[in-house]
Amino acid sequence: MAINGLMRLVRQLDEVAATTVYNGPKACAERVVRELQQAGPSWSGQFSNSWEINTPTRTASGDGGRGEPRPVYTPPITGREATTSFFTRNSVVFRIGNTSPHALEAIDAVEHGREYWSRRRSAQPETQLGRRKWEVSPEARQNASYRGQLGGAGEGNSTRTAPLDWFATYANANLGRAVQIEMDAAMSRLQ
Amino acid sequence: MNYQAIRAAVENPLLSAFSALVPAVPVYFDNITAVPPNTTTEYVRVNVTFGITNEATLTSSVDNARGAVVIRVFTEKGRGPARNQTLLNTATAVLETLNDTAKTATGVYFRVSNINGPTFSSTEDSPHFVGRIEAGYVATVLS
Repeated sequence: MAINGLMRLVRQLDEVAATTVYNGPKACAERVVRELQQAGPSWSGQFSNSWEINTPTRTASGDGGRGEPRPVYTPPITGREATTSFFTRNSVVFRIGNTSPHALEAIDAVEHGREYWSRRRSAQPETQLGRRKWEVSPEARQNASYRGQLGGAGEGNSTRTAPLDWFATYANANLGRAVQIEMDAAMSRLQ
Repeated sequence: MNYQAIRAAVENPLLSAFSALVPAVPVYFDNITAVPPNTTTEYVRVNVTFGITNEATLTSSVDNARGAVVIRVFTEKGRGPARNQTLLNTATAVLETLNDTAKTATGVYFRVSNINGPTFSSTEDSPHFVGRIEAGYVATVLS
C-alpha cells in the first residue's frame, strides 16, 4: 500500500514537472504576444491581430482582423499529455511569428517610398491603442523611409503609432524580463 | 541615469571608425535627417533605443540600462553586396571592440549581446541596398 502510494506520488510529481515544462513556456509566449501587440504599431489592428504561437503540438493564431489587439491563447495540456509528449525530447520549442503581409514593414525591416506610406484608408488610427500612441510630425517623410522614420522632407506631415525599431528594442531589452516573470511564476506554482 | 553618456559610449566609436575610412562614410544618428535619398551616396544610420532604464542590481552604486543598437548601412543598389559587407565589417568590429574594453571605476560600461544579422534588403522605392545588423546592449553607469 505504502509502495503504491509512493509510486502514485512519483507519477504525479512527473506530471506536475512535465506540465511546467509546457505551461511555463506557454505562459511566456502568450505574455510576449500581448506585449508585442502593445509595443507594435496599430493602425487598422490587422498586424497586431496576426501574431501566432507555434507550440510543439499545435498552432494558435490571431484572427488577422481589424480592431483592438485580441490575445492569442494556446490551449493548456494535462500532465499526462505532457509526460507522453515531451519527456522523450531534448527541448520544447515555442515559436512566435506574425502572418500579416505587412509584417516586414511593421518591424521596420524594409523601406518604402512616400506614396506607399500615404496609402492608408483612414485619416487616423482605427484602434484606440493606435490613437493613444499616434505621433504626427509636421514634416513629410523622405522619399524612401522606414515605417517609424518621420519627417526629413519639408512641408507636409508623417505619422506613426510605434517608434522606429520597436521590435528590435523589445526583442533585445524586454523579452528576457517577460520570460523571467512567467517562468518564475510557473516555478513558484511547483513549490 | 545618463542617457547621453550611454549613447556616446556606442556612437563615438562608430563615428570615429567610419570617419577614419578612406573615403570617410557619413554616419547619421537618431533625430538627424539622413542624406537626400535619391542619391547613390553611401551612408550609415545608427539608432540607439532604450528598453529598460533601471534594472535592479545588487548594489545602489550602479544603474543598468538595456536596449538595442540598430546599424543600417546604405550602399549603391545594383552593385552587389561587397561594399555593403565591408562597411558592416567596420560596424561589427566596433561592437566587438566595445566588448573587449576593460571595465573602469566610473563612466559607462557598455556591452553588447549577440550581433544579429546582417540582413539585406532592397526595394524598388529606394536607390540603396541596405544591410542591417542589430544587437542588444547592457550599459552600466558606474558612479
